[in-house]
Formats: sequence, structure tokens, C-alpha cells
Amino acid sequence: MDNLTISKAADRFALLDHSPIGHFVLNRDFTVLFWNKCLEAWTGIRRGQIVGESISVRFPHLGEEKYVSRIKSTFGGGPPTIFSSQLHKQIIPAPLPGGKLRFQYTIVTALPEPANDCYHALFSIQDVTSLTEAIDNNRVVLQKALAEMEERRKVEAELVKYTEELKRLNRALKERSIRDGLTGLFNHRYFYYVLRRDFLLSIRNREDLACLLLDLDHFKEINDNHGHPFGDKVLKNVAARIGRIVRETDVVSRYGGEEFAILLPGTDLAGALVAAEKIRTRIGNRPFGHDSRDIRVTVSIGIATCKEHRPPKPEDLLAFADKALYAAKASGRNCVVAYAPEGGKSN
Amino acid sequence: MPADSRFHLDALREMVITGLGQAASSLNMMLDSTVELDVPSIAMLTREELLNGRNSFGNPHLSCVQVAFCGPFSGRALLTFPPLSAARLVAALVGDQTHPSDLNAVTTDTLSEIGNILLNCVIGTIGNILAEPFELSLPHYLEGKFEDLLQPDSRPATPTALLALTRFRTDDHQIEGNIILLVELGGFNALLSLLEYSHPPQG
Repeated sequence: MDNLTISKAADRFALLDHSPIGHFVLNRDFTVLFWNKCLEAWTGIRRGQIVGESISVRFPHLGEEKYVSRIKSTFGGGPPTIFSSQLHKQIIPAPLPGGKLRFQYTIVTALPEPANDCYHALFSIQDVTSLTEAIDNNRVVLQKALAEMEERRKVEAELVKYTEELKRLNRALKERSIRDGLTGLFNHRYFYYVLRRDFLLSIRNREDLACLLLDLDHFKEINDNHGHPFGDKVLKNVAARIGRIVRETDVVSRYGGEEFAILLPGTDLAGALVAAEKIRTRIGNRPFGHDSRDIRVTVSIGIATCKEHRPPKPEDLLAFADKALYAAKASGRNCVVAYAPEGGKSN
Repeated sequence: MPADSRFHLDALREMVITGLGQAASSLNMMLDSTVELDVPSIAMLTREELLNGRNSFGNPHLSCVQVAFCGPFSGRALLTFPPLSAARLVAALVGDQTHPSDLNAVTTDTLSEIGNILLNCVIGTIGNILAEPFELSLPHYLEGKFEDLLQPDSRPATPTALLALTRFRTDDHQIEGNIILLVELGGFNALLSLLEYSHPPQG
């Protein structure tokens, strides 16, 4: 022992026996000069067993170049050296009950030995196991929380998707509830709603409102002679032809079996007669094809308007149009008739 | 830039590169992966210039390993990173890519060791080349705003700073940090005269 005898070292470093940190001191030849009580407790190796022997006898990894090269600068009074727990895990493997090894954070500092003008290397080993485990536990908890958040986010996204789907279905359902399945026109129920709305609007806006009731002539015979599928085809085609004539603001509905009701907002009697006539001729003059035969279908149309006929209630406007339709049927069909309290005026 | 400043910078750059070369071989011996270290740029700045240029550090909040040195001139050496880069560097060096954004007491200890190796090698090399040894403190890990990291004490001395951009290249990553040497007032003059003594300018 050229620098410091082992017994002198025990005296000199006795204070380190009271430290809760693992300490050992190496001589420049890597022999152990001092081994504190904490390390005795961690490793089960008594000071008397290890002092005087090279540290690499019991801990061969400390003889590897990666350690030797950094430790030996200490003997020349070099700067402190750190061995962190992540890059080195254990400088001095010290098992815990259960066999796991302590995580260690080690600092090596140069201790001057003035008597011999040289330096020893003091190793101070902090046990960072509980810190490492606490961080790992925290990380597990954090991961779990993040996973839960992600799960919640997914569920919420699903919910949004379902809500959208529900809205879409509701819209479809609503659409279906106001439409006629065969022709795609508005149904009877929706027509009443629009009739009431447009009637009130026409009063408020001091505008006219015309109502046309249209009935296919002899439709029962068409069905009987050519079959119901053809009858349905005629209904669809009539709906399409009306649709091409009226304005976007007009409301066309299938009022009954072969009966159609049309509301023309802002239209007076003269305008309504023109529109009705156009519809009548567009249907009556162009036959419907069936089994390479042309079938001619005619319509009768009754008209009533607010300004001309002054119905007190929306239902009265419809009733006047119905009366006019009845008159059109009575006067030989395939014609347009405007309501007249005394009987009606053919066009 | 005056010719002699360029000469000083070149000499300093050479020293920093030599120091980092040693640091890299030390790191590589410890790690499974390979680390290359280089210095794309180096500059001498006053503290004010350093503070004015702090935006170029990319992050107002920095992770920093700091070592105090004392010798022919004294000061502090800082290795700084944006915290996320610091965490990525540790993850790359430890070979654990599962938590590359995690900076905690254990990973900052690892950063302290990296700073310890790097800064010891850089200051040690400067000392060796100047044949004037330095005493170095234990590294301290700090996080904070750049200006706070520069001024942890209120000493009136205005140091001059040497700023070296340092690039760590591992197999899959490239991470940039800065080495900053803050030299106490008058220290740089001592350094420069030592440089001229040990590295006389050519021509």
C-alpha cells in the first residue's frame, strides 16, 4: 500500500460509515482502500474481506476499459466522473430482498492525499431504486390514463358518428313521412300543412294563392284495361310532367289515388288558368306507351284562388277547387274549370 | 471578422472538436450504438449578443448540464438542449425508444453523465493544449429559461461567451445541442494570449 495504509484509511474515512450512501475508495492501482458500512449492508461483503484486493476481483466489469479509462483520470486529480443508473445500472451489484438489483447513480471524485502528492478515487453510490420505480409506476399510471383518454375519445367519436347517422335517418324518416312513395310528390298530410302556411302567408303578404285540383279521367278503366303496373306508370309520369311545368315555389302533391293538388303562391286566377291549361294539354296531348300501343290519358282540373273566390279558411280554398273539379267532370272531363258559386266557368 | 479573431476561433474550434472526439469515443465505449459528435459552428459572443440570439435556440425553455471550471481562467461550461431533444438523446443513447419524450429525475441523471463526459473532455482538452490544468465541479442539471440559466448568480462580472453548436449523430437520430463556455471578465484575454503562446498564428 504505497499511499495510505489500510488501517489509516479506516480511520481517515470513518465518517463515511455513517453515510446512507455507498462509498468506497480506490488506490491508483485499483485496490480497495476503504469500503463503508452501507456497502457492507448492500453487498454482504465485509470491509475486511475486500480491502487490499483489486476491485475487479469481485466486480470484473470495473476492470473493463470503459470504466478504467474514465476512473483512472481521477488518480491524476481529474474532474469528477458520473455513472448514471440508465447507462450503467449497477456499479456495485447489490441485491434487494426478492433478488432485484438496486439502481445506482455513482459519482467518482478525486481525493487529494497531500502526504504523498497523489489522489485516490472516492466512489459515492446513491441508491435510486425507489426513484426509478416511482417514475416507472408513474409512467404506468400515465400510460393507463392516456389509454383511457384515448378510449374515451374513440367512444365520443363513435357517439358523434352515431348522432350524425341518427340525424340522417331522422331526416330520411321525416322526408319519407311527407312524401308519397310512388310518385315522390308530397303527400296529402304535408299538402294540408303547406296549404295552411301558404294561405296565411298570402294574407300577410297581400298576395294571391291559387289551388289546382287535378283528377285523371277514367283512371279506373285504365287500371282495369291495362293493369295496375301501367296505372302506376301513368301516375308517375303525370307527376313528372307536372313537375316540369310548375315553378320551384309551387307545391305539387298526390292528394288521393289519382288526384293531385297543386298550390301556386303569388298566382292569380288568370295565371292559374294558363298553368292548368298547360298541364292539361301536356298530359292529354302526349299519349303513354304501353305494349307498343299509345294510351291517351286526359285530366280534369278545378281551380280556386284567394283573391277571386275569397275563401275564409284554407280548407275552403281546397273545397272551392274541389267543387270546380266536380264541375269540370260534369261538363265532360278533359277541361279546366274555375270555381264559381253559381256553377262555374269552363275554359 | 479580424484575421486574428478568425485564427482564435479556428484554434478554439479545433480544441472543442478534439475534446468532443474524445467524448465520443468514451460514449461509444459505453453504448451499443455509435455516436458521432461534430461542431458545425462556433462563435465568440458577449453575454448580450448571446441573449439577443437566444431565439435561435429554438425554445425559450432549455435543459442544461452545467459545470464550473477554474484554472488559468474561470467560468462555467453549459451543455444545453431543448427538453424534447434532451429526452430523445437519452432515449437514443439508452436504446429505449418507448418513452422518447420523457424527461425525469432518472433521465436527467443520464444527461448529467453525458454532460460530464462532454464538458470534462472539452475543458480537459483545452487545459491539455494550453498546458494549464483546470479544476471542474460536479455537473448540475438545470432547466429554465435561457437568460435564467446564464444568470444564476448576480455577480457583476460580464463574461464573454464561446458558443459551439454541437451535433450528436446516432444510428437513427441527429440531435443538436449547444456547448456554451461562459468565461469571467478578463478570462478570454488570458485564453487568447495562451492560444497565441501555444498556437502562434501563421504568417
